[in-house]
Amino acid sequence: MTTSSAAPGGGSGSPIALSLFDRVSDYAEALETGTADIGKPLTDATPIVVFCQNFFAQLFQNVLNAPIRSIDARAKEQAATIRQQKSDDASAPLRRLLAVFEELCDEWQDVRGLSYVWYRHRALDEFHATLLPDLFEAITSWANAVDHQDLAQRSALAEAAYKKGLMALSARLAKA
Amino acid sequence: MVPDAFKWARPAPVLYTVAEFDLLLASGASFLAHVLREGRILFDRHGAMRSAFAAQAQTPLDLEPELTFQLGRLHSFEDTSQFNGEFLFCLAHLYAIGKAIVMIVLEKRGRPEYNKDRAFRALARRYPQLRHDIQRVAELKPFYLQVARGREARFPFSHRHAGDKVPAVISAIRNIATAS
Repeated sequence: MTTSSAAPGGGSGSPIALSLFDRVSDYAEALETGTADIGKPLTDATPIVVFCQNFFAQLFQNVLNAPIRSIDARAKEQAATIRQQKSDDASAPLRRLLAVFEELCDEWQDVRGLSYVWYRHRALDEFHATLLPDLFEAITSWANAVDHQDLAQRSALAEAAYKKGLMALSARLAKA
Repeated sequence: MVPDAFKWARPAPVLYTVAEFDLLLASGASFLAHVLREGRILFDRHGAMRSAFAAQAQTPLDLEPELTFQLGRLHSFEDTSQFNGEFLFCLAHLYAIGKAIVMIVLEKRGRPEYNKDRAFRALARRYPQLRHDIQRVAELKPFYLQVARGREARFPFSHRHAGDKVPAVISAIRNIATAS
């Protein structure tokens, strides 16, 4: 068990802890080995849930200085307000990241299985096929723009691992 | 879908197909015990639900896989460096896992309790030697309420830089699980 460093990024200087991306690797491996079921809502401690919540918690706390306390309509409003205020060209990658967060807020209840069942499958499909790849791309793009190369590299690796896991899952489903 | 008169209770409607409900029946999960013990059948055109409930009442629960599953979820929270000093979501999840394990332990001891606060108190009475561990998990409830319900509550400590608390909570949850 490791302990937290007081320095953002666990001492790497990154506003987002690089070790958080290990949760994406965990989820990618679960997809690849078949221990994750993307047809079922994601539970509290599913690694990708831990990643999404804590990535944005750290982004809002350490980059935007506007902490969030959940992923919901209130947090979406907060993100939209910040996005509208960041209107300069240099903030374009951050605006894209915030737009993905707003979409995540819309889908979160369904992805987590907290709302009515008839939305679940569409939301889960969108989450896995569209939203997560968009999120990794947006993180990489933003990290490059703010010159956090370690973070950009870690995000790109996470995206590759995730896509590999998803492809393995698709291949397995196609065979079945 | 939920009548206004019941909205104060924050009900969470969950829909199961017959096939999904059969899977639940086969799982032997603690949620099934809750359904069988406190559930009321309101409409059952062909009597299938009544038959399934009656058959299931004779079948012992298999709670070990559920306990193992809950303990496995702790893995995602062991590396505290990943939280970068921001532990709100982590503490909320640890409460949820701890609560689930408390309820499983009570179910295994034949003393089921489905109310969160009463469950923690019941387990502390049954296992006084675990009182400190149980309290360590129970005190995280405000973090859970904030994240899961959006309910503002006074936190027992700041979730910022609370990394030193997490290993102790995880250890407490594992201790509670051994009581089963």
